[in-house]
Amino acid sequence: MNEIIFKNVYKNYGHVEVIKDLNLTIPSGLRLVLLGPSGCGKTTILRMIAGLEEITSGDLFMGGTRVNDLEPGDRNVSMVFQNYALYPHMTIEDNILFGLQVAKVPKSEQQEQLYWALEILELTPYVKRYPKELSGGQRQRVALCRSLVKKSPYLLLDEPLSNLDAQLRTSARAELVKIHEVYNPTFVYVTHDQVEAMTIGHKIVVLDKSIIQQFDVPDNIYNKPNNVFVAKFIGSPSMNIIEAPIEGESIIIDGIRVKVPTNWREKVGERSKIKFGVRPEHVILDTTHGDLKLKSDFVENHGNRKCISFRFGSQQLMATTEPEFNFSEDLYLKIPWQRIHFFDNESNINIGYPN
Amino acid sequence: MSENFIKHNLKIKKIEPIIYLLPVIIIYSIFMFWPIIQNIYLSTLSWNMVSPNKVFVGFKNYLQIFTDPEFPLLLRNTFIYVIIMMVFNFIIPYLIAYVLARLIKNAAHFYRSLLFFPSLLSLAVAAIVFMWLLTPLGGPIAELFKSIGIVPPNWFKSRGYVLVALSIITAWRCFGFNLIIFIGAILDVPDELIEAAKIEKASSWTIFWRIVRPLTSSAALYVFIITFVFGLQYVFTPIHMLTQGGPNQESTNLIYVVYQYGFKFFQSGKAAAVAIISLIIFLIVIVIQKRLEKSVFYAN
Amino acid sequence: MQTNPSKKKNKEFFWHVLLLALVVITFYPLLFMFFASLKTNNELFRSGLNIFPTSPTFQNFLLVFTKQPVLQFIGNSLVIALIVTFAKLITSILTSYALVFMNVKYKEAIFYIFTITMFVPFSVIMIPNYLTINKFLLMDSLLGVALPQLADAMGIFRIRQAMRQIPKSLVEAARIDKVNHFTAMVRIVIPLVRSSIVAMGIIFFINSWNEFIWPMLILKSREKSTITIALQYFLNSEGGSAWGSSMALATIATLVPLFLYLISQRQIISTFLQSGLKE
Repeated sequence: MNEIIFKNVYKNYGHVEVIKDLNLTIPSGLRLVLLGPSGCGKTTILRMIAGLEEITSGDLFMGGTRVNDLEPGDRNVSMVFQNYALYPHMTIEDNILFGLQVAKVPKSEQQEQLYWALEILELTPYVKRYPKELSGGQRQRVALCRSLVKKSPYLLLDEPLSNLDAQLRTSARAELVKIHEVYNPTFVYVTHDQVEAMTIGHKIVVLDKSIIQQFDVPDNIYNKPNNVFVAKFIGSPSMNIIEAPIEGESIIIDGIRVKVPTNWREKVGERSKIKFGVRPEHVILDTTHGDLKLKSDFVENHGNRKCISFRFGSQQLMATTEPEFNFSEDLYLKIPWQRIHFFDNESNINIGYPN
Repeated sequence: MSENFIKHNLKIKKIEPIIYLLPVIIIYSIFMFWPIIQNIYLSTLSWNMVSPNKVFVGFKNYLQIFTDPEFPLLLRNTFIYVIIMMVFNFIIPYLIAYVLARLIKNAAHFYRSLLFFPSLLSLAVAAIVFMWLLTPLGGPIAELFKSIGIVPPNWFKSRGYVLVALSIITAWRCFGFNLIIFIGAILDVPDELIEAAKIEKASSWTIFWRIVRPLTSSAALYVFIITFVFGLQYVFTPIHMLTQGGPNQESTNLIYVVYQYGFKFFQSGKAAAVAIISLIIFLIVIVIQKRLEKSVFYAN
Repeated sequence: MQTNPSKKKNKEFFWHVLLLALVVITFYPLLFMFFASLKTNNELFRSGLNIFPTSPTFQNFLLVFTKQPVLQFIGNSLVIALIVTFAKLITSILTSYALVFMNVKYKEAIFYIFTITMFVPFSVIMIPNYLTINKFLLMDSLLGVALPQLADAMGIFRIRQAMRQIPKSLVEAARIDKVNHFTAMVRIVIPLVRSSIVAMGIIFFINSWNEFIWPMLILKSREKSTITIALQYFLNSEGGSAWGSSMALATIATLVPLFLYLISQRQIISTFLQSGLKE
């Protein structure tokens, strides 16, 4: 119905290829997050959907129609810009109604839609004010209101929460989900914040240098990352990736031979070196026994947990524990084999999991 | 010893800025502020600028001017100059700037570099070039008119036409400058606002009228004021070179007539009075315009 | 779903046609001037719409140089322009520096008063300044022309605007190291606003070169004329003998602004692009 399909899409700026052979299908009504570091192309992709960037080659389909040559105004999309793009010289009411006024919607219908949208975002008392009189959070809601009132089948958001304080972001995230559930548009959301991605998205596209690294539900992105990039990008503190040689039945970490369970050993196969990944929150620490004995170099107290850093050779391993953990300089680590990941040392790709 | 040193230093600190500002303060006092006062004083005299007799006449000069049958003509000419220059130096550059800044993708720099150049030329050059361009004795414009069957007017000797011709000379020269100012202001409107409007399917005109215009209103006010204030002064040069205010004072205005009264008829008191009148008119126009602009948004 | 790509291309094409027409209309007088200077007077009256000379000749230029002391005119224009340019730059820099980096009481008011003067019509100060120059016994002298123009409110406005872009902390750091204001201005601030200074310098020079009214009032004798007011000498022979030579002189007068524009076009334009907005 309102699905968005990219087929072999390329985009060049002059001689520079910014998007290379993009193939992506966004099902109708889905909340999709485009996630990645700055410069990874996520905003470019969003703007291509909006029609604000030209597609050099390839096809973009929206709702079954090829839209490459359609003007932004003809694509029936709503967009929330990073800086909200509120017209400073118009009241909140005029800002929200601008699109409907241009489309010559009858005035009574305009007012109906206006107050309906204002109610949902709790902005009714501000309807006659100007943007400069409102706080950052309120302005952001006005931008959302402007998109909501159109009820267009595609809702595009470009890092809409990045200018808000940390506390506001939590309530704003919930609000975004609420908006989506009002009329279920196809929702494309750009961010570099992985918490936003995990909490808002039905599915996430992780991008690096404009190549799709993984397109999957949040659980899989977190528990079954395709490669080292995705593994390290999601999760805070990020997953530990340790380069270690394999000899016989064991993996050698900091000079210590640790026996690898048979099912994993089969999966590793002929490789002599591997990248070993485990999330800090999955590492099991003990003061008396374990697979490894390591010396810690610093501890961070985060209030709700402690982060302990271990160094060996040129590598570092982080572990998080409950705040009451009895900390001493020498600690034992136990490897939770059901929660580890192996990545090929050359290609960085996840080698998979044993059955 | 050290206390005096500190006092000495503090004194320097206080005087230092004054030393930096002094040159400009002196120059402006002698050649701007004092002359304004002097002019006010002059306007109360009857004096031919040479004789030692300066007769104080109070407001007589002003009364003479207001009752002079020439005065309505002066106002009319001034008004027409302003209207014509507003079209060519305010409205048209505003629209062209919008096209250059937002409606075309390439070559904007090329066009604006070329269109700006005449603003760097002398009005004397412009006057003499247009004199020959427009001459009915074989000039190209005259030939153009003839070829489509119209009798070419003698621009600088005909009532009405002379105002148009002189305005066009001035407008030709000032167009590029105003264009650049408008381009700068229009480019300052955040791209996002324009993109947001495009997404709402607003037409280019709607975007101009409802978004670009209000958000560039302070630049528009500036251009309005300089077109008005400087336009009337700039046209002095072509008037002086080509018509000396004629034919029959049909091309003089409130600025040029000061020169005529002062240096041709040696009535410096009357000249000064007209100058003061025009100053007051300018101030009133500027204040009215500013009030009008406050109702349109000052995006700051 | 309406738009097709050709509609968008048509629109842009239309604008380009319009803009090109505007460029042609704007440049026509200049081309006319240049080519007319290369035609004989006879040809000029018979050319009609044909802008190009059939056999270009430099006789107009020769006539101009022999009949009038053109080099003298150029020299006079040059002297005045140089004096005015340097004076305006120095006064603008000093004033702007003081207003931006020093503690001056009422600096806003002072700045405001200077900028207001930009809108006082010339007719108000024309006669008093004439009388003043006369009193200084500088009538018919180049210095008399230059003297009232040693400062420029627009210069103060723009250079102050440029200096405001520089973080005050740079100067404060220097002051902490016991560097005095003058040295800080010369060695820190001026290098950082160099491009604005150069652009304003060129603009001042061009404006002075093109000036007509004030030099016309003050300079009475032919040897003292500037090239701009010398154009008047070709108006009297309206019967036609001056057409070609007046265009030649006009072309010569245009060469200086043209040359300066070609070498500094970007700076000049960018100075005025960031402008207009005050308060």
